[in-house]
Amino acid sequence: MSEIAPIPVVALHGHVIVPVQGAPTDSQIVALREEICALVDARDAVGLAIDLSAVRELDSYLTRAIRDVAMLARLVGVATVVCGIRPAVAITLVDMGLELPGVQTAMNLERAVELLDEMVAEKQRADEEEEAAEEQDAVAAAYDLDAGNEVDAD
Amino acid sequence: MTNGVSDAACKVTAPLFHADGKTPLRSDEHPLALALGGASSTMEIAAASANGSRRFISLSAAPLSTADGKTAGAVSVVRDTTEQHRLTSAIEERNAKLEETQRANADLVQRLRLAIDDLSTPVLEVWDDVLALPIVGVVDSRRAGQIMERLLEETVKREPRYVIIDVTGVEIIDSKTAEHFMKLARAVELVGARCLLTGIRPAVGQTLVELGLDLGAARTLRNLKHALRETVRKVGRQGNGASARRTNGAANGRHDGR
Repeated sequence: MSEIAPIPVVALHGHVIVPVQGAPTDSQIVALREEICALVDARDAVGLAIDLSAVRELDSYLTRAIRDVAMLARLVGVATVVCGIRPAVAITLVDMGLELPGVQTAMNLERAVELLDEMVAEKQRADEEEEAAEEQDAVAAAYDLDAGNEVDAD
Repeated sequence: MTNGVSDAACKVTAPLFHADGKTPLRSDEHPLALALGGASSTMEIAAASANGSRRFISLSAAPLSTADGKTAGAVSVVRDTTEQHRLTSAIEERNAKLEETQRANADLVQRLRLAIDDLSTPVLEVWDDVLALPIVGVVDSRRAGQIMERLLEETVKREPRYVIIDVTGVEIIDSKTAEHFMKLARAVELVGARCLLTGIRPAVGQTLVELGLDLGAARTLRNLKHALRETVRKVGRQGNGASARRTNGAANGRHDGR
């Protein structure tokens, strides 16, 4: 098993890109999961793109594995996009009722990276808004405190 | 003596052939000869007439036996079946022709069906990054499969961000049809475009609600106009966002390089 090349994992512009090719074996998938975790940790990645354009068949195992990787990435705070699903693969997935719930899809890698940027920007905006709201609350609380003091002084 | 009789009986002026009209008939194969041997038989024979054409004869022969069981002679009945042969071959010819026409018709129907399928599911590029698929007529599972293949193929080829499926032209939506549309929408989403479903008329919507059918995750809009307005707005915004991102990316690249 060791002579089979592992699935490449590429770090690019703060995102982790995983081009899956052919039909990966179980050991390759296990290795992939660990490598993604390690890379996300080491590079401070914010997005994960899984490119399936070279996968001609997607069975239930691989579908589940991809979903697991996506869920895992989300748990560690990384936005995930799956891209390049072929029409035949999509038809099989739909017919078999295997879907990728909670996973965003994109047409190709370029769009996937675009979407990741958008998702990250969205998250940042949401965070900023939350911070601003907190700040406002803090100011309001301080004001209340001041007002209380004033009342006390009187 | 028997041989003499048989030779005399078989001696005819015209040469005889088997029913195929080519193989010459040997004298010992002649029904009369067989009858003299004690066996009755019936045979189709072709005879060459004076003008070179073939006449067909049905020849039956039976042995005549004496009281003690010996064959005393033979009797034969000859019927001219030329006319029957002609009619049979004419009918066969007609049948062959008919079959050929039928096959040609079947081919034509097949080709017409393909043409109609092509015509009835046009995939239109209505705006930058927006594909529209108006569906007209009845959607059975065969057609649903074709629509699915065609739409996904076009989607991958033209790489739109949005795909609008317009079902204004679908008269009846039952649970099966709704399921087909759901699958279509899900497959489009998997391939990587956002899918919008439009044109569900109030009557159809009522049926769907009464049947308890949920179109689930599919985003539905009232008609093509609304869908187009929304997608064009979003594409415009995304287009700007994408160009901003690109300049951003370039700036980042420079920054990283420094």
